[in-house]
Amino acid sequence: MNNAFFLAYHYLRATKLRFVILVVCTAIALSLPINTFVAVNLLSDKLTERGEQTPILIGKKGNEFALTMNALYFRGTVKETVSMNVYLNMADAYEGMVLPLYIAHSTSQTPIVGSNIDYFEARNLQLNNGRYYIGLGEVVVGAQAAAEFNLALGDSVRSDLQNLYNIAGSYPMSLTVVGVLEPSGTSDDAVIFADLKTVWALDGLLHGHDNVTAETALNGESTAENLEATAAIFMFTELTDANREEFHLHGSESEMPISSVAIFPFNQLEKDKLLGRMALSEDLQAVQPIEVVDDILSIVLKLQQGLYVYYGMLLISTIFFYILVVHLSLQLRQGELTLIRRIGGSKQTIRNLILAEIVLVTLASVLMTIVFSWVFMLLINVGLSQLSG
Amino acid sequence: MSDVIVSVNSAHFSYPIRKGASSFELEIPDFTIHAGEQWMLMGPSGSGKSTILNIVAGELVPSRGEVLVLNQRIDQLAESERQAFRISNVGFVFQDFPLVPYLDSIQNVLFPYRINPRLKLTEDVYSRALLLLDNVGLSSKSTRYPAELSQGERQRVAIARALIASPRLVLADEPTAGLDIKRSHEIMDLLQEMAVTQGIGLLVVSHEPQIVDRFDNVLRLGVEL
Repeated sequence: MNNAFFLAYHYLRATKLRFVILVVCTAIALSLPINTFVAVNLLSDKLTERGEQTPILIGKKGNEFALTMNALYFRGTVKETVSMNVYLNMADAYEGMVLPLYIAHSTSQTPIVGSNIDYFEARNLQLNNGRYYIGLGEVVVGAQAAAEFNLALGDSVRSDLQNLYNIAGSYPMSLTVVGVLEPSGTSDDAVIFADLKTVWALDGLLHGHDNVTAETALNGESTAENLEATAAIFMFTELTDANREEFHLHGSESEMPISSVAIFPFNQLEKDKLLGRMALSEDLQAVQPIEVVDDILSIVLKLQQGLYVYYGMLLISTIFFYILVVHLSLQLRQGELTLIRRIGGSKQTIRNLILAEIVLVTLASVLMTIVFSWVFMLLINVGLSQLSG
Repeated sequence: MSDVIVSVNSAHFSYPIRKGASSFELEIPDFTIHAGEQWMLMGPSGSGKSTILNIVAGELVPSRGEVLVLNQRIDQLAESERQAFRISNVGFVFQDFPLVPYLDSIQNVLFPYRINPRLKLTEDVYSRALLLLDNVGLSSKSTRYPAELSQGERQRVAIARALIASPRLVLADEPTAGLDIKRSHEIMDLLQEMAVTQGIGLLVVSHEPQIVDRFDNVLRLGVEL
């Protein structure tokens, strides 16, 4: 059989183009189902893990999927916010950890996640350097976001303009990096964290501006107690030690908006009570993210099964293509095969020769499949980290 | 009297009858080839030259009569036995497809050892292949591929291959076809010289009259089939 492999190797070497086409076609046909299987499993693990880590989300009644994607993966925005009052009530009513979440802003398309400092404990996020935010305008940056934008302590990031054509809206603000997180391998790596008040400041609900005096007010002459500011008043776009005291909320904190409330119930009883209570609510919903994730995965798995049928057909067509190529090449090699027979080679010799060729092509295809799968794994990991970000 | 290499006696060959085709019958003249003798089978196309060559080679079996090669009735052997016999005792030179295109000259000479499990490729065989290439004047082209050789050079490599397993009989089917007169004589010089020096029986099939004078023993087949 060694001689058969020797001859097959030399034949394949002499017909490189044919060999490469065969190997690449076979490798593609083999790697597609493998890569799909790997990708779906990685995606499934990633989504399930995050879903399991977040037992319950409370938000405005509506799209469960949008609420989950917003709160867990920081994708998109919720259609309707809830008030801080919901969070305050939940925090009073339940012993487990309760977190307000407000994800509506971004900086260079990177989401800004507004919450309180307990978020880091709930998600087990550790600081790589610096400290957590304690004041207005301070942010803590995820490891991937810090690397992507080359951010270090003391650097500034500017929030994205929400609506270019709304001249009466809020303006981008400069925020200061006070901490950088250790990588966690989750969607927390690719975002920027800020205190809720900072995010409300980005909404314009908490803002600072020049003092309005009788000289600059629209109604300065009529009253000195209730002054009406003009549109020309200078709004602070950066929080500094000098102007920090000037920032103030317009309204009660309990009425400020948040996207959702994440609740980590103390025990099963508390969880059941919460779900029971929410089932009676007219405007709020309690979502168990793992159930939403399972729904998503069931769709993905159905797609995967459909793809396997397609891949099976592709594999069969590749096998037929391979048989055709071998058949045609045998026709082209009639002279060589006649020579083999005439100088004493048996039918078994010819069978061995073809078998050795098939083995070599298959081995090369398997190696190529491994290379394809390895490259795909790199790409899928990048893709999944982007998904998580 | 030297050893008898081939002896054909009262042999007759019937071509298998196919549907709608008339059968052909070939009466094979008796002849005997001794060691070191050189025979030529001559005749026009369709006269049965290649059929006789194939019968002597054991590829075809006569319908009657006897064919002895090295005192062995090869017409009575099973196909696998004839094949084994051929590997060990017969060398071939063909007109068409003389060499394997994806192997260099030295590997083409060694080709019988690559396809026959009965032949063991050793260092001695490799050295012999180099010596044979040297004998046919191609020692400097041992790593050249057939596409890099002239037609005459390719045929010389084929002669070296025919001799690699030290056969007692060499069968050459139109070995000079397509070559000019000068190169035809060069090839025949080589074949005949090696047959003499190595005591090999040589049977050459050709329809080219320019080489007939080189043979003392000529079997003329004039009857068209």
